[in-house]
Amino acid sequence: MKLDLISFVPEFLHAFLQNLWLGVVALVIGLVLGLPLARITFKSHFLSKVVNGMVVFLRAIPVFIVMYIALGILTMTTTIADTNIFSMPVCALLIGLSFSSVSSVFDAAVDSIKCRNAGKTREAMLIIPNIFRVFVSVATTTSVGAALGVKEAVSFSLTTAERMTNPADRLVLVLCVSLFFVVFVLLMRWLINISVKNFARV
Amino acid sequence: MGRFVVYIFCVATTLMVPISSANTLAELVDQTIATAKTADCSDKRELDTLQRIVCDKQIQIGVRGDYRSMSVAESRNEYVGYEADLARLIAQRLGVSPKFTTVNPTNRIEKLLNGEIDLVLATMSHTAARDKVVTFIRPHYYSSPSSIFGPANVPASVLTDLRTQTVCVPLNTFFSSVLAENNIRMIIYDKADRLVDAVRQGSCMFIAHDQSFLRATFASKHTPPELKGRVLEKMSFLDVPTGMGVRNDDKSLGVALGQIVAELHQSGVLVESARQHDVLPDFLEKQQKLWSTPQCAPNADGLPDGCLGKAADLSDRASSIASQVKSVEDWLSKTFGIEFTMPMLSGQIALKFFLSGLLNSTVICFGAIAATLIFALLIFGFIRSKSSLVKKGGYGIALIFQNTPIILLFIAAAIILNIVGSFTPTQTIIMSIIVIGLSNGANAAVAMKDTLDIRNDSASLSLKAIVVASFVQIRACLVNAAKGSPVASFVGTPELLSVMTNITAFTGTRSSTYFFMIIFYLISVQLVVVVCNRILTNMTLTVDNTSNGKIK
Repeated sequence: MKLDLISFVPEFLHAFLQNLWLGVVALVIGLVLGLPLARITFKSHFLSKVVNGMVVFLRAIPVFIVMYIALGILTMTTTIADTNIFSMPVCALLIGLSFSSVSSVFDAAVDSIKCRNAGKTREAMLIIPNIFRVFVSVATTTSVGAALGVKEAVSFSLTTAERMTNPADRLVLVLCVSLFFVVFVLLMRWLINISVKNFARV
Repeated sequence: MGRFVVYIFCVATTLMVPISSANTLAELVDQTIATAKTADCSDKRELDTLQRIVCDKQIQIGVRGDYRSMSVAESRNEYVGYEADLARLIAQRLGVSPKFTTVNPTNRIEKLLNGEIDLVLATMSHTAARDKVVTFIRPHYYSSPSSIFGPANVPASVLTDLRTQTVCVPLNTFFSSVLAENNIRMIIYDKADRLVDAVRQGSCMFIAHDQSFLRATFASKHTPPELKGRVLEKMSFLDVPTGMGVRNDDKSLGVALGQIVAELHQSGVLVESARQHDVLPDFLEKQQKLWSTPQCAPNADGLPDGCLGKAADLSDRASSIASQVKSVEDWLSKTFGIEFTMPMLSGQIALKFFLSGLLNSTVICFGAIAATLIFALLIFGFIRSKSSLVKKGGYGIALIFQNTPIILLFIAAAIILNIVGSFTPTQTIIMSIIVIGLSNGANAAVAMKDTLDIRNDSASLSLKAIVVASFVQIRACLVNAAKGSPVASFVGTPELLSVMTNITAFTGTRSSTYFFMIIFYLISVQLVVVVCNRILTNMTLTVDNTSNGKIK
């Protein structure tokens, strides 16, 4: 099978929107849980120990493992309708990504609060590009959802590649998709750098 | 005295069952039921289960509620399918009415043993392991191989073709051990309807289950339009008989049911029912012929043993440490009230898988850490090279491996391995180490370069001093490398996640699987952090004593 670029590209970009959307949702979960946790660490010594221990745990467990465990638990306990955008694999992926996003947002927030407490307001504002970095990292990591059948860009590319009889064609397709991700990340980094420079000017 | 007489009567009637003077199966069944009907229904404590069923005029049968073509619950006590038909035929022959209870593979034996139901008739494969827990009715009422269905446009005809694919399987199925032995990645669903939903949603490309179920779901007249042609049968393997089960104490009920099933086979009524519900009748046609032969006519012991099928011996034999594992499980249960089973340690096959997964993950983990360091230094060396060509090459490598999602790197590496023509477990482990090493090594190299860029004294710094200065970032890359091995399971590397999922698929226990995986990664990551910190302390001391770079 030869790749039909005219039909592949729009469908791929549509699938990539799913990566971005999942990245946003995971980031929102990270913000909702990570920011209050960071605040708590400055309130009490005991709570700080508990929260830090929890974050060490969140950091240590790979997203891939959390995702599989979450899927296992969800398939045991939950029924989710076909039409629901949060299908079971999507929920499992989001839980896995949340482990990473909560710990990353927590780290960024703790640094920011420390700077603000030390009177370095400008440095404290760096939390914004740092959170943008978290988003880029999480959005790229959404690609592991392909292992659970989440319909995102890598999963779509793989399905297309599977239909190709020649392995060399498959490799070319995978390399092109990799290049797309490289360009996406570089573009995001460029935006982050611009925002950091703007903060520096302010 | 009266009680003693009743007891003697009951023992005598039970003993009478196998001593038969019947010439035909119908006569044999008539005799057995007639004997049961002679029981004194007024004293229920003295009745066996068959007599109680006859006296109550009701039999409680556990059936599936979601198994297309076999038994689907349409409404309360209204079930449709081949098994539901069989249940009604049995009740009719016993002269009682059936009362249905929906069961699933997880609770069907439990419901039988705790007395909620008298009979399990719920797609239960007859295996040697289950024989120890319940009495299977022979002859079997059905037999079917397991099948794998997948998309028409993806070629797969043998199990080894599926090494880079994900196959969705139901929980606790014997055939999963065959998939596990072939290093096929599995996603487990605990209910058949959820498996079908996963195919409908596109989450599962390949699905493994009993052939009868898959054909009825995806390739029959009952198949809903949205599922028609979605997946086709790719291969089938491992033919295992399906049997009804009764409690081990219910001997007389077991004997009666065996005779009824043989009679139903002979009459051909089961073939008709199977055809009506889109169930493949091959096995049933063979049984009909078999039970019509003179060799299978009743003898003095009842049914001739040579005409009865045998259990499939697919059980995982006890491992050398099974007794110690059992002791630990019992201790946990008695001391803390925790029901924690460790099937990965108690069975020979499971233990073999577990140990190999543990070893492979450890090798990948430490190999990836070493590879990360090596690639970091190598790429950093390129970036710092005086030759602009090498420098650009170094930047290019760093750019690609730093920014490509690791899963894509694994896929590309797997395709290259396929092009080369070999895909052994050892090669996939080496491939995983290289991929994780390149991905994290590129990050570490860029971190070292960034550190160098922000320092004024970069020209005079030794490599050791640069490593110490960018230690936090390098440590983060090493931690990521230690955590990276599970992604390797995506391309069929037999690491811990992969083998634990496989063990879960055929043992049905998930909690201990998850527990062991979390513990493994917590220990690995903490070990990396502790070792890195110790190395940093030593390196800082060494660097402090040199004149090149003073790191504070």
